[in-house]
Amino acid sequence: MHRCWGLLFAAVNLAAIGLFVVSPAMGWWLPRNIASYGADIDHLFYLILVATGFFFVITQGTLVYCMFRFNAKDGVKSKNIHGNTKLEIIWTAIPAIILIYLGFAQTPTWAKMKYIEIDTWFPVKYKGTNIESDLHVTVLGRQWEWRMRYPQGNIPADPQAWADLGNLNDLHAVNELHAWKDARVKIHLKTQDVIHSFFLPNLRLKQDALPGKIMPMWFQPIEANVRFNPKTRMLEELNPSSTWEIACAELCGGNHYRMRGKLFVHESKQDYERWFADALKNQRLHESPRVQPVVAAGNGGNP
Amino acid sequence: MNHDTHHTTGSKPGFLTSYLFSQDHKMIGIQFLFSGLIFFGIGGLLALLVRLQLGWPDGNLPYIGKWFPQSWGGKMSPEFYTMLFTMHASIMIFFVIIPWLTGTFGNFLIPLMIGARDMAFPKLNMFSYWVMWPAFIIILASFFVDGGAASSGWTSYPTLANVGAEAGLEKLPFKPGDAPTSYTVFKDDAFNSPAAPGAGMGQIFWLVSLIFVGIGSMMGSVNYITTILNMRAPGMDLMRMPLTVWSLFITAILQALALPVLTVALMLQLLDKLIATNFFLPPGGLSFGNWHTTPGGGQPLLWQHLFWFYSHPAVYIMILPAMGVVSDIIATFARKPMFGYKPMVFSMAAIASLGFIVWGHHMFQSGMDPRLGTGFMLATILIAVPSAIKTFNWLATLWGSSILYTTAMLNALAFVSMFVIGGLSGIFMAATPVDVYFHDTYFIVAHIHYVLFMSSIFGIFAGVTFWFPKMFGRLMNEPLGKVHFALTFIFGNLTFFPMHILGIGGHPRRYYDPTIYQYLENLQPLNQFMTISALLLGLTQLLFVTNIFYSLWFGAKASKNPWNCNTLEWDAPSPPPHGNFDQIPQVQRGPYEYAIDGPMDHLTQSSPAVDGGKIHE
Ligand code: HEM
Ligand SMILES: [Cu+2]
Ligand SMILES: [Cu+2]
Repeated sequence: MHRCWGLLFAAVNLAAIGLFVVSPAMGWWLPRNIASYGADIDHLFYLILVATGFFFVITQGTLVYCMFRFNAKDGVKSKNIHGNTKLEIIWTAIPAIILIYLGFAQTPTWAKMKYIEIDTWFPVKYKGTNIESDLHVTVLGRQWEWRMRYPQGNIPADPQAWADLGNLNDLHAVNELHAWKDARVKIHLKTQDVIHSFFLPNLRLKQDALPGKIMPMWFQPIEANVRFNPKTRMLEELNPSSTWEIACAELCGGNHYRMRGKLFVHESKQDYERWFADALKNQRLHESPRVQPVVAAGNGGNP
Repeated sequence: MNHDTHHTTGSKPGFLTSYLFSQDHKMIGIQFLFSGLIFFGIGGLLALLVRLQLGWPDGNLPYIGKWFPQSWGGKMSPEFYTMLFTMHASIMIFFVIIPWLTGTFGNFLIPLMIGARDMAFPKLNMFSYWVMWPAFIIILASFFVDGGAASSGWTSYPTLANVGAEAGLEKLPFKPGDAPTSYTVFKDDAFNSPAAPGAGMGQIFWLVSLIFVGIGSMMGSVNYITTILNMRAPGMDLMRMPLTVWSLFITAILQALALPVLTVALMLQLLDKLIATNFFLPPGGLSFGNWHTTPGGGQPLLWQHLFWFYSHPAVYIMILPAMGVVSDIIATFARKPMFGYKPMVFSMAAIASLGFIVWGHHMFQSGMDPRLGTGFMLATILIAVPSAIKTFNWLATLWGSSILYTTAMLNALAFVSMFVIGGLSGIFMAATPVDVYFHDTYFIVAHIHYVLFMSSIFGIFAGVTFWFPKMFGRLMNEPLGKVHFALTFIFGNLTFFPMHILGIGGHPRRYYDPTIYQYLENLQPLNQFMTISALLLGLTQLLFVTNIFYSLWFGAKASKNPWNCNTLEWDAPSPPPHGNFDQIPQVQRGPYEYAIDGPMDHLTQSSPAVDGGKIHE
């Protein structure tokens, strides 16, 4: 009977490992990475997966082995052992070393994502808003949509002031983030009501929008998914399977799940600018200067 | 001592004073056990509704559909869904796990295990339970208030949670082309919130209820600390205390230091809602559609710092007692001394102290300075070290032991196995760049449930089974207990393990309908699978309830020490009378003298025989 219990534990743990093995094949895995720093993040993920996998196998293996091997038999006593200092030191030191290594292994990637410049270990310089970039976009979260604002000429003269107040000739869009391949994109993230979180799974990027603050984010897409066709004035997908979505990751009310947007990465800067010019012209045709969706918007937050 | 004479000479207490307004620590522990059981049921049902929605997001649910108002179209509304998971988590955390661990185990076990007649402050102890009742009533009533129960998540982040009409909502100047809107919406019902229906009255009820919980737990922890420091039986040095008592002691300290911060934060949010203070409203104010709040002057991030400054330590409040309980049970049924008693104590202390400097790991994406993130990341990663130490010591205790597979032991072993999974998934999220992706996805939900359901709850099952004979004088039914354990272990893993995979796929948490996202589409079969497993997991818990009630009346009569365990509570009769011990025991040794030479394989803490032979029974 006791062996059944060991077997149960073994089976459950094996099933857990099994799920991790089959999931990538089933497509239940990390979505395609398109960010310049995404490979670093994925690499870290796999590094931690290996390290934790190792400890998982060791600890669960030991547990199951003990359950099989050491069960009560008549007249057989266990050993009266209260501990072993050497062992304690070993199994404190080994995880500590591995964990501290993991800790330091990730700091360069974090720095890369968050504008931190580490020349030597100190001083650590936080470049904040002064990062060099090719395109600025302001994203405003509200219940329940993302409103994007694009500057003419891609880089505003005073990005901070522009992110705050905007310009009259900005291009407005709802739930659509446009950029081009290899552009260093700087997002100024805002919200007018509650906290939202701008989540781009394919870019491995997420940032909360904090009421009263403008949060900086940046990314560089290394792959394109659309081309603008000036004749039809439509965006054409380069590859039918590459839809990259935007989601909200911080609870923001009932329709939190509906803040779906799309990321369009144009083939080239020229292509982006063709789309921009066309969309701006289209926007000016509307008499009202208020925010209008330009190209067919996602769901616009409307149920 | 005054207290002693009261117990030995006092008149027999009546029904009211022995069952309801009891000052006896054992009865208070038992009260916490049963109220926790009721809320476990409620919280579980809420979870099953959440799972139903996730499994069949667009489906009009058969049967259950009828419960929803016509206006929702025979299915739950998104707002209702946010209420479900908010109340599920709040109830499970504040009304089930914490009261079970500190209320039930803390109250029942501390005096018995240290050889005291009762708590240091029995009256305060009674109050610590009775302030829970306003909390119970208010949280249950909140389901029926205008706008429904709280729906801003158990974390209740402003500005979703704190904005009320009182915050000075006014309509923007009318612009040509605007649809005419009614002025009356927020004037009539001053407590409604423009942010969400449940962020009005429901949120206020939630806040008030948790303030009561906070006050109650505060009383409890002061009592535990005092009792453990002052009332130990002669010979019970700190370093002879069972690990259960150590864990409850450290938990009480954590609670005493961290809980006031939450209680204050709750009060601040309540003030924001009731009298329009602006602790969490930013200077520029907010706009909801056509409605504009007055300018604030506060900072939404302040709440997150205060909340997590409590709630990270709180997650350890929710596991340390289970670790202590499991340690004692493992040593008992492995019939082997606890391996590394001192490292076990020190690692709990390390977890508790490190636990105060890691709260920022919940806020990596919140807008906190990213340089701070690195510091929080390192501290978080370090907290995994004491967790690893504990795991290795449990395994070393099992190594070379002779395991008795009782229900309590099985649950304790499951705790070890499952805690490993929950601890390891924590490391992914501690890594800041990886957490950018995992934060607020199902990976977090998997982590939470491996540490809280699959670890703490297994610890609780183990503890309840183990001490049931001491509480009620009868043993729980073993075969039924084993079936319950096996099914819980299987369905629990089937329910929660695939959540890791959803998280890796980028499935956000708190989503009413993930299927509108293309990148989540092919994860939906997993969602359905988990829902079915969850329903079975829920049904399985009926076995536990059945076992408790069956055994209360029909369980086999328990002897004084049915498990041949060493700690002091087994010196007292089962169940112990008012005042616990006929004679306060003299403690001779530590609690883990198993596998010793002689006719018995163990030496209880109080038995005078040292060199084999006679055991004092
Ligand atoms: C090895 C130790 C652990 C590490 C390294 C760890 C790490 C983390 C991190 C980094 C997060 C935040 C993730 C995010 O929101 O992005 C988190 C969340 C959480 N952890 Fe842990 N954790 C550990 C153990 C525990 C334990 C023992 C418990 C409870 C008994 C626990 C309960 C929670 C809960 C409830 C949350 C989610 C809170 C929420 O957002 O709703 N963790 N953990
Ligand atoms: Cu949201
Ligand atoms: Cu935490």
